[in-house]
Amino acid sequence: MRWSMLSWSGLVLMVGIAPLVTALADEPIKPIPGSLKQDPAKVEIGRKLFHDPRLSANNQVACASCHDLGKGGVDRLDHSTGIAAKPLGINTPTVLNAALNFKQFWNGRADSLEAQVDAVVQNPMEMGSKWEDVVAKVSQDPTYKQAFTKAYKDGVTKSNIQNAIASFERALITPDSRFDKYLKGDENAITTAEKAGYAKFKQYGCIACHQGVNVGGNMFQAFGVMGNYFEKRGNVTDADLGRYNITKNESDKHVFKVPSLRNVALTSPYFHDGSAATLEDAVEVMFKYQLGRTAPKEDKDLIIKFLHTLTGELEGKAL
Amino acid sequence: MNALKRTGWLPIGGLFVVLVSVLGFLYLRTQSYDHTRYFENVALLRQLKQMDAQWELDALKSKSGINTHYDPLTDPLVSLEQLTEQAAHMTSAFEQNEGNAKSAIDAFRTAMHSKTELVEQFKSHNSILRNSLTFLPTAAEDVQRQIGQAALSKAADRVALQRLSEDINRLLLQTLVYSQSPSADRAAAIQADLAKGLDGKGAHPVDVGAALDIFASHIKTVLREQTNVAKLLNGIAAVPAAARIDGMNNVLNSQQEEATEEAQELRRYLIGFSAVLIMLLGYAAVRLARSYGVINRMNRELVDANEGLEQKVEERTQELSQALQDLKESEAQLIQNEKMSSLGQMVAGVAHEINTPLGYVKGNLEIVANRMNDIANLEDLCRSAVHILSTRGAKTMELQARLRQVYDMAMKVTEANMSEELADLVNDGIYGVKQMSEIVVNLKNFSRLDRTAEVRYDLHEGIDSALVIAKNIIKHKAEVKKVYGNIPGVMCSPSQFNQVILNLVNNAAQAIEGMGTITITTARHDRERVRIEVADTGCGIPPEILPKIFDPFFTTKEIGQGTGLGLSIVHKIIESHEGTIKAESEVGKGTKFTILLPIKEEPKPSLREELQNLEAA
Repeated sequence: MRWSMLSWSGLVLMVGIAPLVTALADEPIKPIPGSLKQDPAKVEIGRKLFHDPRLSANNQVACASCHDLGKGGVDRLDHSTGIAAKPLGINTPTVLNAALNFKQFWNGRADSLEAQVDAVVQNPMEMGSKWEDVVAKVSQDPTYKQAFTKAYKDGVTKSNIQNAIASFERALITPDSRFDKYLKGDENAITTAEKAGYAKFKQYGCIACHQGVNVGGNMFQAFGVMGNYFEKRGNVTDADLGRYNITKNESDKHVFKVPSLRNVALTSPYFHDGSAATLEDAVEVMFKYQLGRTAPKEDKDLIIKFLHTLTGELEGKAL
Repeated sequence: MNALKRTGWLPIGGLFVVLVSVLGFLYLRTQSYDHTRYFENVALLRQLKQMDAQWELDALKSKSGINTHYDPLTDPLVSLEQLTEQAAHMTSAFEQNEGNAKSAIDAFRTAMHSKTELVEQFKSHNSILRNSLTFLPTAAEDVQRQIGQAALSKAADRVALQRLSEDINRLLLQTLVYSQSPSADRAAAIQADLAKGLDGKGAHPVDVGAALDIFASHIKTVLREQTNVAKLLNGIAAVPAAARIDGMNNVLNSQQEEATEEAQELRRYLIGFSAVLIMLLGYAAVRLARSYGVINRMNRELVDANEGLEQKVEERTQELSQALQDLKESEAQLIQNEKMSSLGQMVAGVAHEINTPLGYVKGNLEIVANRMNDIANLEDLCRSAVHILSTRGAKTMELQARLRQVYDMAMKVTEANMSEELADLVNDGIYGVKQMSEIVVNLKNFSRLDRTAEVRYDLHEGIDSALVIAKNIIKHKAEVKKVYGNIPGVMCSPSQFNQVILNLVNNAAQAIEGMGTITITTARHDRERVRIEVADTGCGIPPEILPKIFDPFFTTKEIGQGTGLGLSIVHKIIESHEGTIKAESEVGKGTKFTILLPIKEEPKPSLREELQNLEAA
């Protein structure tokens, strides 16, 4: 009887917070928009620039070198290499749906895609270019020059190059994932197991951070809320300090932008350090250090099944 | 005068430009402050304030779990940034308060920056709090399940497990209550219970301990994050974003007030200036009205004068045409008078000319009459002789006596050659009559008031005719030499031409003292003209008066001797014939008048017709 009493008291407690639960009538994840409506001319210039290695100092590294659109917008390396041919300090995040992120880079130091382009092109480890050189190279190409003159009043300029690439990236939205279809009311878009996975995703608290239209990408969170991830991992680098490098606030140490989980099945390895090779690894780490709890393997598998439903289509083609 | 008038306009024009400029300046000043922009800015700030409030509300909703995701807290970032930039742009609206505006906007930016930071931190901490709170009942359940399993074991300290179970329940309850209404006391109580619960940890079975650890860590997390989140929410609420927006609004308002005040001041200026303008306009209107009156009056006078003028012109025209008519008549009269005057001078000569033939015609007729007595006697004798012869019984003696008487008479007639003598006498008489009749014909030609049209005229005939008329005047003064060339007939008025020649010959004769020569020469001057020269061997004309000789009423003669119109009429006649006349003279040697007359192919209108034409024109 005692147990039933306990159950009863638990039930009372649940009822106590029931108004909170029932209020979640709408799903915490929102369907992705079909497109962000960009000027097609600018998008086409951006597409060319995105694949153009001339943006880098040695004419060998293009945006697409690391953000391979055929590989979910990443190169699937734990650390990409730029012109310096040395591994970069941080894992390459995907360019897909980056436009939906509230800030760019793991530490959120860029407020816009244009600012992100500006930083990468000039980063000595990544593209190592000077803008005047880039503008000169682009200006010398008659195809670019003509296209720029058509699309922009002032032709080839630094900001127009940034805008063109950003316009292209804003076109890299991946709608029509099975989960989006489900959210839009297609009950059969995902399987029962995947639905169960979504339930677990919410139930275990993943949804606390991975929510909204981009399933993440709209907030910062400390890595290692319920345990010290970096102590366990060891070999702490500057990049591991995350947002602290920008704000120098003690509370921002190890704080990163929560990454979007859209197309997550394609973008291994995971985390800013590329330490998790598989979704299983990543879910494991998340449970331990972010959720501070354990879960049966079946539940984790269900969650991973759910994560696979987040893979969308790019420009009408399945990824 | 004109220059003075023109310079008079300059200051008026200048004044006009100045007045318009002042008006334009005042108008532009009243327009320089854009009230629409004020209202737009106020609207912008309201929007910003509303968005900011909504943002705060969304934070609270996220705290309470009404918001299931953070997009409502993230999406406004871009809009807020844009609106903030727009608000910063308002700086341009503040001319006087630029400093105030800038600091107000900077203050707002700082506030928004810290608020954004706080919201970001809130999101992070709130998600942890929400996660732990959501998980806590499950974690408690996990513990209870482990306790339940442990209680099944025989070695279990059931009392301790029972107490732990109760503790767990209490902790859960306390923590959830705390999450709803946090207080320091409740936090302390939970901390105490937690410490107590953990005290017995070592005594519990391993599985219970592990579950308990998770439960406890989440309670701790809740305690920690609840504080954090509360602090952050307080911080967010404390960020004076709304106050800063109000600050910007205040700057806007004070700007608007100043602008309104300035506008009112400007309006006063405008009203004053308009009053001045109206007065000026009124003055100008009065001036204009007065000028208009003057113009009107002058116009009326002008119209009157115009009408009077027309009447005057008509009168004058009438007078003039009357005068012209008179002039023409008097001119004709003059020509006639002159002709009559010339004629008068010649009448004596002409009378003498006629007198001579008249004398011998009379003598001849008297002789004839005398001779006619003898013839009449003879006739009577013949008739009585015939009567005796026819009478029977007549006496032979008587008959013989009668026949002797007839014979004697006839012999007497025969001896006197009477029939021849009579024939001669009669012939002489006829000659004399012929001569007289010639003179009379010529005189008649001259005496006619001649206005006939031009005809083709043999000039030699005219000259001869004139010479006959003037014969009496010239015969004692000069010998006339006629040097006639071969000239064609000339289109002219014969009587006028004769008058010219008569006049010239008359003058020539008068110029000659004693006996001289008058030479009249005619010749073909050129293809179209003939030349007539009248030269005399008279006293000549002094060079100083030579140019005046054709002037009307110029005369060298004593008063009463001449009209002084002779040569001027000559000149006029020649001119009317489109000819020329000139005089050459040498004092003591003589004078030569040379006339050139056009031969003319067609008859020309007469002088009178020309005058009529002139009048009509």
